Amino acid sequence: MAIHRVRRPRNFSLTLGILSLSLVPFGLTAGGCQGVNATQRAEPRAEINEIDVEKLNYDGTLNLRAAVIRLNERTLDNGFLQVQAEIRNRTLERQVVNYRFDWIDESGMQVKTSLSNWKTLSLSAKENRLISAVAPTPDAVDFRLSLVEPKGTW
Amino acid sequence: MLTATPRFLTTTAAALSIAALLVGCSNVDNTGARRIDPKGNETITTLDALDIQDATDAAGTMSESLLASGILGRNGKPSVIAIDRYVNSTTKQIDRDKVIKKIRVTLNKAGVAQTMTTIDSRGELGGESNIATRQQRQRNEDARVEGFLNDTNVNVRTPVPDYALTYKILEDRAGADGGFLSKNVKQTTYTFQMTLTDVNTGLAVWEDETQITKQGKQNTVGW
Repeated sequence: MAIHRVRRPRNFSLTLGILSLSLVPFGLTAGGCQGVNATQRAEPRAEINEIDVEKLNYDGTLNLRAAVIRLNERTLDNGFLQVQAEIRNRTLERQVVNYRFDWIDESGMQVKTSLSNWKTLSLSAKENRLISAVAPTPDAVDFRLSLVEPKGTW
Repeated sequence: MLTATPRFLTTTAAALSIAALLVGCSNVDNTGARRIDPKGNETITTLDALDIQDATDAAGTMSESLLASGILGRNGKPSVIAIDRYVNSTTKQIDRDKVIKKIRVTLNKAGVAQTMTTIDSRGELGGESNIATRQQRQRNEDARVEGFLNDTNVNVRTPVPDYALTYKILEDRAGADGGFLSKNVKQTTYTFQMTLTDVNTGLAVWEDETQITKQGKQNTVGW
């Protein structure tokens, strides 16, 4: 794809600038920039088994709005894998995302389960939220976490 | 004043923007009937009913909670559960199995629980499986006859589950008629409550609750 630079007339830029500036306060108020202030222990006692991740970000816009910033896991006493993800709203507006965990067994096959369904998450401005999921069988050794924007925002 | 070329560009850009807004990422026509993925996010979201995605979500949350508790399937052997009382405190008729069946399937596939289908919600012999119930009745009758003929006291004992699962759905409705943006906004919350009781001790060994809240002015396609 070739990108060409187009010289715009001065008036056009000025109009666009004024229009953009006038929309800023509207966007802030209509979008509802209700932020979250959180407090936590400076030196966390929890021993987190963090997972190295590979991100496949096909939707750059979504990634700018909300993203997974940390993943950790543990194996429960009954052998089921439990995964926890921390999702961050990177914007100053409320963001709603749908997420889903898919589970994969040792041979790389998908574990079909009703536990793999879309769930909705509503994040305040700059909020970090923890979500978790339990594998449907002890055979599930891997997982994939998918994020998608709700249909109304497409 | 805009020159001819920029005007053409801005007009084209504006037209494209409007088209993009109207079409979005969706390349489907909603007017004709078509099959959609029931697990996807194209399903209809209603304001005043329990949608399939709501039932799936609630069942998933409850199943995960049960699996994480580690109560079922201890010692590597599936626990036997029976479906106990179901209370629907909503304004709509909601089939018990809309949520419960999904939980049963998940627990069964996980290898931690098996559901007894020869016992009803009152604890009496009877239930989903007519054939298995009939066989159980026949075994009980045979044992009674044998006891009578041999003049012995035969204690006929119907198999009992390890756990009983009780289940309740509640509904809360609210409405707002505030400012311009919140005029005629309605909200419905469904609360799902479940309890797993140890049949031998009568103790609730696991309990959980999950909620699904929907808000808006009208039903929509997608969520």
